[in-house]
Amino acid sequence: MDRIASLISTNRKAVAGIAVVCVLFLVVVALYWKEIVNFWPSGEKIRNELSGLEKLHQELQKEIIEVQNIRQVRQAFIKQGKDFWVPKRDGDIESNIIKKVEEVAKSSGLKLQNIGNARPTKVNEDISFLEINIEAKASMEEISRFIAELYKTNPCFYWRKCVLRPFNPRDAKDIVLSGTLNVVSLTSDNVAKVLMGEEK
Amino acid sequence: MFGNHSCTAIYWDKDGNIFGASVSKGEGGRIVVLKAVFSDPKITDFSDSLLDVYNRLAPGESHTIILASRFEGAICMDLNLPNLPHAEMEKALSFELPRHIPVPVEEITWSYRIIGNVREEGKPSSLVKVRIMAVSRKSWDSSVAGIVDSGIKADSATHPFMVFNVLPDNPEFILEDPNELLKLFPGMPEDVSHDKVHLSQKFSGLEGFLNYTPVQKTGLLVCLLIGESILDGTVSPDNIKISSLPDIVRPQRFRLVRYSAAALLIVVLLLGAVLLARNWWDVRTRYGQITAEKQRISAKINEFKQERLKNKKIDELIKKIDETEPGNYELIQCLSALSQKLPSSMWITMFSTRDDEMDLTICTTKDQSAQTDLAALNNIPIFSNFSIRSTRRDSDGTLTIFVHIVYQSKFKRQKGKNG
Repeated sequence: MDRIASLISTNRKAVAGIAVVCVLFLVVVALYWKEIVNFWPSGEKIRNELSGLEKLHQELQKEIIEVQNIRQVRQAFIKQGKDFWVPKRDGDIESNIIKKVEEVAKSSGLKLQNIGNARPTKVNEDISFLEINIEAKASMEEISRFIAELYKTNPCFYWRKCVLRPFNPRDAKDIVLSGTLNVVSLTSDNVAKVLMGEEK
Repeated sequence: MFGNHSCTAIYWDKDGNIFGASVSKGEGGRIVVLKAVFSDPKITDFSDSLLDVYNRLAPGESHTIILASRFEGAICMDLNLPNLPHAEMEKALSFELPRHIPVPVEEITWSYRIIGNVREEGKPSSLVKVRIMAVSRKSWDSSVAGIVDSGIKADSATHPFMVFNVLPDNPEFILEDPNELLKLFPGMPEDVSHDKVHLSQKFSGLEGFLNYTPVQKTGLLVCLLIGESILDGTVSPDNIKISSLPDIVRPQRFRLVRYSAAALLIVVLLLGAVLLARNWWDVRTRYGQITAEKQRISAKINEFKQERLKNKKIDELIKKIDETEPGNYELIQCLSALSQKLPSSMWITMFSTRDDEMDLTICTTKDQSAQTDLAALNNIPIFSNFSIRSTRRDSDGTLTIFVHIVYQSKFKRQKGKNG
């Protein structure tokens, strides 16, 4: 101890310099401790990282499945885009939809006795229904052809209500068709862009 | 464990006679005299004679080698001083010496050894007895030159007085009288004589002692005194030395072992460094791979989330559309299935549908098999919940059956998919 004390007393400047360097070293170690630890990561840190990686893998798998499902649904929706009436693409629905029904009836040889006004029903800002009442008296063959043609036509015509009954219960030659058709209209600009192929 | 087990002491007297003895610890506390040699009178040169004695003693690497001489003009004294640390004791003595030595301090080489505590009235006091040995620098340098010239190796050079526990009144005389020297060995009787007593109680290997000349006995006894003091740990080479010998004289012990140990240490350090470097490299690589993989996966997840966020509105709209119930659009499929599956003995008189729910009025004349025939409608895959609500028998014998069917909504809007 005496020797050390005498060594320190004879080399005061050097000892002071070494002390300053030591303090600076400790400050640097304290400031960059995280980086220093990362420079040589411990086994526990590696295990924690692996555990985190495993969780991320699981999250990725879940995300892939969800995204795949959503993509499939979206693709299916885009594929059946013509089933919906898109005003931006198809024009004004109220003025055009009755013409469409009449065209189908004409092409199938059915004479519609009555066709009601289009009645819009708003589901939300982007979706609305348009209902049309129709009535006809024709043979079963003509009515079947009309229903089949309507099935093939775009947009998709949904039957909200349909009654088929014989005009005369004792004679099945003339059948009375009384029904309510429904068309889905999508008014959103985003949907229009997607369905018109402007955006994937 | 690391104490001195063997010692070789070489002593030369005023007349240049050189004596040497190699001793080692034996069983039962006895000391084994391995060799006792004396200088050859035919060799007149001091250095040659010293080398000759040294070679005949042939001390091993484990031997502590002490050289002793009665240096010309040597002054030895005991002083009682307070027990001080080495540095302070040296300072104190350098002040004290000029008062006791009639020559300038600069002209002497001096050393001291603490003998032990001073006892006052039978009780130990705070003072210690310090033995001081001062040798003229000229004499010391001359002796060292002789030692260097001889080429021998030694741990320390001292004066025989430095190993004495008690400094006699006439020490110079003692070094010439074997009887007096014998008395300095612990446990020796007062009337000990070199003619009568042999040292067999303390030493073994001294069978020829009585045949030696008094001069030889004297020299050998000095060597044995030094050897015994070293072996029993009373003194060490460092605390009896007058001054340090030049490095060239100091023995290089276990050089091979030390070099091997150093080489081994270097190899171990290198291997350790390589191992550490390899471990660090592996850990860093693994850590880097994990981090990169985590970043890649996080980026992918983020990409998916961005895609979902970007298409959130459209996805929500699709979901909302799915939840809506616009009606049955596969009416033709229902009619087709009914017409195909309805037995020929039955006919539909009314068909009414509201969304997915259908009400049928079916007539038949074959009421016996009606139940079985209607079972065929029950098995149509696109229909579920087939039920007969009521039946009515008409006056003409026709059986009218009111049926309720639910169209399976999972077939809704499949047109787009099917092309």
